[in-house]
Amino acid sequence: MSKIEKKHKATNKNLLDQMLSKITPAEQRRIDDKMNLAAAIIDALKEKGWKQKDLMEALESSSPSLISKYLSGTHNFTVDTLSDIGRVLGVNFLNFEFKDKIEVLTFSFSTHLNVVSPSSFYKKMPMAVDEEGCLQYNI
Amino acid sequence: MDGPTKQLFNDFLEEYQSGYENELMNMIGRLKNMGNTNAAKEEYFRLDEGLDWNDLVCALFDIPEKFLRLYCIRISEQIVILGNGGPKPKYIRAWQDDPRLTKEVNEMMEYSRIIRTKLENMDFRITSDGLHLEGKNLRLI
Repeated sequence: MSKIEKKHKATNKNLLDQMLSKITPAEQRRIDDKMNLAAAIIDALKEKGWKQKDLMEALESSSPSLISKYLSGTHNFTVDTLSDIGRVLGVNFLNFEFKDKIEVLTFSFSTHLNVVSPSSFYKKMPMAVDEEGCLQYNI
Repeated sequence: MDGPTKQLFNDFLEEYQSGYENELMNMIGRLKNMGNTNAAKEEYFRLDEGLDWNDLVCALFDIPEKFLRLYCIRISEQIVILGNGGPKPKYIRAWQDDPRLTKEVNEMMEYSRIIRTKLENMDFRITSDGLHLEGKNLRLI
């Protein structure tokens, strides 16, 4: 590579790197999400053996350009549209996973035993359980 | 080698970085996603922008309501040559209606023709992993 070519390559890399560094993580995430969603729809179409025209007909749309936009990686989908596309392709693009939260509650309590005279203690002992499950005391 | 080299994509970035910064960053972000994750799926491009059938000249899909167009030569999902482009406002229906876009597309068609000829003649070849274009003297101009 000549000196001029090396210099050009360095300059090019610098400008591209500068622009790459200006993309915020949030913006890159938005771009990636749109591109990944489009890729998922494209894969689902291939899985089903469908062309874009089949998707258009299934969605009862008459706009081929709209389907192109859906697959372009630039479209900002509504939930309704993703739901419809998912329904006709048999795929859930709105795949929420809620991890079950298990909360363990620990109760602790102390019991106090009132020591009473033996005679009164025996008097208050449950003798039976009635039909409703209540303890019957022989008072 | 003697003579200036042309770096089309760099020229595109330099020319439009001040007036179309958001559009450029979105394009670069998408190209980054293609390189890292999803490859250059044909659905991400407007294909058949050139006049010859299957001439591989295409445009990166325009962002809705944004009007900067980048022309490319899409050799495969793994190899895309980025070119130049320009503004394409709504009132311009096709690149043929705009002298600047006409110039850029014509240039891409010419480079595409050279590349396709060299591929046919085995002067260029795609590496076995599909990731690189290699050959003797990769300069087109």
